[in-house]
Amino acid sequence: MHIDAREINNNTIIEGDLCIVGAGAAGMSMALDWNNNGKKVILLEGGGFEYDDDVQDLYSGKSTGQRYYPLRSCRLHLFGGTTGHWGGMCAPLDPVDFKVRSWVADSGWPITLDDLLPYYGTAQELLDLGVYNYSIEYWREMYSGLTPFPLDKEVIWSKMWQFSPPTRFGKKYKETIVNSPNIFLYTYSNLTKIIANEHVNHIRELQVKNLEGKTHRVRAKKFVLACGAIQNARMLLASRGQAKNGIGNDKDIVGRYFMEHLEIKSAELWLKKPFSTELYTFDYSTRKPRAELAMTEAIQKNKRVLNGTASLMPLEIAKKQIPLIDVWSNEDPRQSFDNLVANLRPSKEKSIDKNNMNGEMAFELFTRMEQAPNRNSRIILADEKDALGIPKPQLNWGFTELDKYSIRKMYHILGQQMGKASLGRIKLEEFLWDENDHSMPDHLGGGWHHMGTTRMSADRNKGVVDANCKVHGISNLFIAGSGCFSTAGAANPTLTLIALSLRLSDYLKTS
Amino acid sequence: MPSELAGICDKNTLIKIGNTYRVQTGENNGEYLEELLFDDSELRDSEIRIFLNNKVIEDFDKGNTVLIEGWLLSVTEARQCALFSLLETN
Repeated sequence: MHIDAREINNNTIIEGDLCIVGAGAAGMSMALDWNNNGKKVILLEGGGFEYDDDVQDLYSGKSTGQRYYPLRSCRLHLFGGTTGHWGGMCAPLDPVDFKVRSWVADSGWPITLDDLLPYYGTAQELLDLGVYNYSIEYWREMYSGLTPFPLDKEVIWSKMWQFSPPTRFGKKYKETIVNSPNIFLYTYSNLTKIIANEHVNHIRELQVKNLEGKTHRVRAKKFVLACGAIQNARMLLASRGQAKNGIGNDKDIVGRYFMEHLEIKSAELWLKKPFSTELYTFDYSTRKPRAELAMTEAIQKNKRVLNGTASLMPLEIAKKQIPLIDVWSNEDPRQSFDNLVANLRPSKEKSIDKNNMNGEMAFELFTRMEQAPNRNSRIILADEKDALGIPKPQLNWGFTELDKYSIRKMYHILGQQMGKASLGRIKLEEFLWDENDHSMPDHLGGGWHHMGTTRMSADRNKGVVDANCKVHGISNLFIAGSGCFSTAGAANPTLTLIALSLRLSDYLKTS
Repeated sequence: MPSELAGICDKNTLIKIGNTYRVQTGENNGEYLEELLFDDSELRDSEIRIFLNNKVIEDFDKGNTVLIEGWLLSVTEARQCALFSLLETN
């Protein structure tokens, strides 16, 4: 059922069993999991079904520290959330991502990859992906010609990615949600206040507003914040009426540990002779799975580096690409998206022109690497407020020495392996030459992946949520999405955040 | 000149690598570089190339590498570039 919150009486009290705030990938996945189960689910969405500039303005914010994409445009504020413009890249996290690593401060999740495995399959289906299988052996049987570089498997492996069409949740699941007998979708319902009981250990209700001046109250047995890592943190911090540092923030962790993927052109690979790189090439027409070069857990431990991968792009195409941080610079998400598509066009055209695909010997190597958990990389509240009176978010994207060291080291490792296998040579980009330079270059980009701001930990001194994504100290408040990630991993987060949200959904059904 | 690297880099790049290697390491003398490269002075010419190629692979296997002008190279091939750059200069 759909209700436009602009059109109901002011001060309506909305009641249900479960309230999910945010109809993006996380929130909608959970709502769909409760479809037809007899429980009343309130699904709140701040925007409507179509893009609205004034609503999108509510996502504006500031950025200090390392240059970042405009906060207004790197997320979408409408039904379907940021699935409205995501790229579709999917891969699970690796076992090492969940482990405590002595060389990575604040690493380790209170769950393991095995805890998510039961949910990855359903996440695949929601994203219109095929079978949940990310082994290279499987895909080599499915497609001919997928030959990995003959590198030492103890050091470098080929991590597989699958590609969602990409599924736009707002289009694909609208009918299901709107026609559901037990999901009550309220559009134009922006969370503006979280109201707890006297002891601030239980949430009584939420206040929601829209730009048309309506204010409503929402009551439920359980509440789930699923607005994305930046917005979830923002709303917890902004709810300062009863807790001076914000709800769930008595240990000053909310908003901290903001993590992105470090994405940057890092090196060139020059092969000695032609080698079929179809395994590593993205095919725009078929969107078949492809691999990136990844470091094994053993070598990560040996060299004390973060988890990351290198993808390949023919150098003649790569040289025409503008850094992502410069491409996605418009505050209007639609314009930024168009700029991104235009930037990728040479790559797409080359992919379609199959006659030109063979015989490439020079490639750009593009990094996607987790960043080390860093307390000082964070979301705080700016002084300026949005049109609904909520302080805007302010991002300070920051790094540790381990971040750049890991990127540099990865290419030393890869270069060593390429040389040992007599395949070719690697040339590092100049920003990686000086081992004593820990600064990140201005053209560093991210994946538009926002993680860690309400991180998971069994210890409430180190995390905002516990192993079940419940906010520490509050009995009925949960958080869904990549904000709960304790570490970022090398993989794009969407598949995992959906799996994690489905796991939370299961927990809520049984708890 | 280093045979594998010569298949990837042009002559000017090899010379630049060689020049930079010599400045970075101080290994600036041709005879000294030859001594470092050829620890078996009784190799026949035909065996030199194989010997050096094997030494390059061994360098990579053991992590005996150096970063010159961004290129992650085997020390052996960097020395070859150094020798080559000296010969070209002279």
